[in-house]
Amino acid sequence: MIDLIQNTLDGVMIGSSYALLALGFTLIFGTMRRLNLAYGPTIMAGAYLGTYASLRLGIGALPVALLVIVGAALVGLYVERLCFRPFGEGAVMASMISSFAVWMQIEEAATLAMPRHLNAFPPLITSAPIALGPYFFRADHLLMLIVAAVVAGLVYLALYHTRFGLGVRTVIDHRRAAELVGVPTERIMMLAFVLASSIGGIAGFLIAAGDGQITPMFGMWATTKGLIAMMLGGLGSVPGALLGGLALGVIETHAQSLFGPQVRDLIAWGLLFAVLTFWPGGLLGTRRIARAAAVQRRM
Amino acid sequence: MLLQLEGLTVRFGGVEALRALDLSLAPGHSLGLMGPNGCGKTTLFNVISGLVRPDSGRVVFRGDDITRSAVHDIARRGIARTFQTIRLFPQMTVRDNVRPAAAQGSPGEETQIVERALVQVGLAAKRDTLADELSLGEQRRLEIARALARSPHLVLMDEPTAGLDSEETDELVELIADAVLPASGLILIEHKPDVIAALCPMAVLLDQGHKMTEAPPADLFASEAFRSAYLGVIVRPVPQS
Amino acid sequence: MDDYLVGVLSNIGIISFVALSAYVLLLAGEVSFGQQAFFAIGAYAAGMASAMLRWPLAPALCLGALIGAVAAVAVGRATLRLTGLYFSMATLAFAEMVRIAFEIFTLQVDIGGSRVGPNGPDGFGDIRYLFENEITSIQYLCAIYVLLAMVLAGFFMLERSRAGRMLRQAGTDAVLAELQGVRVVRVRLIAAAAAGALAGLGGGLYAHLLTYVEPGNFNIMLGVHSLAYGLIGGLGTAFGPVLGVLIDIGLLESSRLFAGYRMIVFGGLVAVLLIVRPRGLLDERAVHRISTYVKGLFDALAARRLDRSLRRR
Repeated sequence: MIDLIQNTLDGVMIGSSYALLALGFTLIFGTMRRLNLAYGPTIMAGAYLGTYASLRLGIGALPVALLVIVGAALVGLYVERLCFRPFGEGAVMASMISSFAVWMQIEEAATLAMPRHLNAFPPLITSAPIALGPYFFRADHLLMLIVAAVVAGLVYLALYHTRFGLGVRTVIDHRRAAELVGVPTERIMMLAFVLASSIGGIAGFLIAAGDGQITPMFGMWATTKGLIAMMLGGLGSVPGALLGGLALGVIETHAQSLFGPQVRDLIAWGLLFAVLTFWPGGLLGTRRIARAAAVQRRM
Repeated sequence: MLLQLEGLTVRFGGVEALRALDLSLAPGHSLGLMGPNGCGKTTLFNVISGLVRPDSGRVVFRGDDITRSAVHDIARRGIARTFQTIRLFPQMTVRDNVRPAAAQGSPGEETQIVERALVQVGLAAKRDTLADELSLGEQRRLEIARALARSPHLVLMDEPTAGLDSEETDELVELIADAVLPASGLILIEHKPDVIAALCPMAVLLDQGHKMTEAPPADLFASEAFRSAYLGVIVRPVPQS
Repeated sequence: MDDYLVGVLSNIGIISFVALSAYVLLLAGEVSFGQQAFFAIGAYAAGMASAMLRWPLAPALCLGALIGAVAAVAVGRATLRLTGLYFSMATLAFAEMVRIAFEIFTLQVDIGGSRVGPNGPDGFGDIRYLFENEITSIQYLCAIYVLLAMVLAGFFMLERSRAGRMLRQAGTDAVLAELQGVRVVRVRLIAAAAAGALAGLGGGLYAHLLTYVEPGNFNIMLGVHSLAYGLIGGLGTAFGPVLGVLIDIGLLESSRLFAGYRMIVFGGLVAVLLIVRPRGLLDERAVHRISTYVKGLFDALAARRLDRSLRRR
């Protein structure tokens, strides 16, 4: 029983990092209706910048964090310009494939910059366990949870209490209508993209700091987790992304303790596959309307 | 009866696009379909071709209930359709656009059928041109050739003269009268009264999914229902005292 | 011919199969990130048949292709009714599941005193059919290219057939194709089966060339690359994906020019082409122009021959 709760708590904490990744994914998908598969690699680019600075220039953890976030934001801008801006509303697949191509670029660039597979990453705080009753929490995991909650809260505030957030919500709801009422949609989408990349940078920093290392596999890993978490929670829904991340973390932790890391990954992908084939995009009623809308769009 | 629509109702979310619509068409006849934008004309075509399932009602074609049939099945039964905005395979040649999906006899026979359709619409010389290199008028004729090649029993045309000038409109009307009318039934959506008058002995007025009137074109255009559907009810100004 | 060149050419030939596999689905309008799964399935199936069941090469390869096709149809039934984005993600998920499954998969038998067979993450070694039957690398290279030539000939015939037209129509505008009587779902399933067979055949060839395979070979990179080959080389003809493979493996990997920067260049090429030429270098319009030009040449030649024969009278 204690194990069960411990695993669940661990899962929630790991899930909070997934939630942040999913949040960034969702912000981009919600505003652009397209998947950014270079999302994880964008974060990784920032993390590599941070590692480079820390190892070669000896910079401390907090400035590294800033570097990671800024780096991710800048690379995000590059992705937005190359893979998303040139395409109109319809070309969903083109952006997705293009972002995959950029993923290839970023992964190779990272390997060129830091040829070693494993690179040390400065920890932010100790990973020493804190005991609370019969349960143990790693301090850095706890920090992750707190930061994720704060970021989620800030994003909520931004979305619902700022003009920018209002713009984002209108673009998510109906881009053409937003354009027609004068919302600067291109700028909003670009800003949302940069915001999403920055959030990813925060998550990336905390994850890498917690692991104490960064490898070129991080890009793929982050994209995978963000994607699965977002789909679990319901494509394009902000609260869904957060919930999906937490759920994925919990499921994974239990799966790992029962079956080991490979089956854990198998289940994560299997979950995505199941959600896609049986419950794509959520509510039942929207599916028929979505089909009619698809017919309409082609007419 | 070639086509019979019984009590068709279609709802999209909260909006009723079609309301208990009844319609029938005898073989070889042509029917005009008019009404303001958003009154359900295109939805009606979508229901007949099978792209949209009605919430209630039936579509009966040549005695068979095709309400829930698959789109490709309905097409193979002999219902052809053109679109308001041109819809072709842009990167395929004119000839490949016209060639039917289902085999029509031997390859030699099929080539003849395709050739005949192209000649009828006047595009035989352009048979190897890519579809998106044609002019708008030529593309409209290509759509008609595509319909003709399948020798359909029923053709549904959705504003075929949209975007054409008056000379091109007259040419297209002549083409429809010469090539389509003699061979199949026709339901024609159009906003231009002269086009309807030239091609259809009867016309139906739709407003907000409801069949308001069914009458010969001349009578329809003169009716109060026609005027209020297209122009709305004219509110009398309050007299100034 | 030196060994390195033979190796590169063999590689180009084999990867062309996966590229053509993704290409068939692209023609049907589907973007699959997961063809590497069928490549893996074909590799393991053919390898197991020849190394463990001691089958000859040809039946083993056929088995690989067959199981690839069957698996593709099984997955396709579930995924092909999904719209573009969801389909692509589902293929990604499926491929990763297959890869992880092979990391767990262990099945070994005793052959002549040693253990042979898939061994989880260590992969599957000792697929030694070529050695045991003294097939040289050049002979194998010829075999690969004969098979590839047959496949390309098949595509050539497909483009001129009704089936090929229906495939392209389903891929260009599925709704319009349905309205013309094309059974789009069936067309897509058949395309998926063909794609699975092609990837499976390539996988079998791959396993025997390398004599060993490991799950790490069949990662997402391979899948994305196979997709990219068609997008770069062009979707107007089956030579398009092959051209893409030539550009990547032939030009980028083999030349010293791009050492270490291959992916950056390749990725950049894909991204830029998607903007300026979304159907690739040899797109439908280019192919149409080339074939019209060639036809014109033939007509001119025939006219000249006729003219000459008339003048001789």
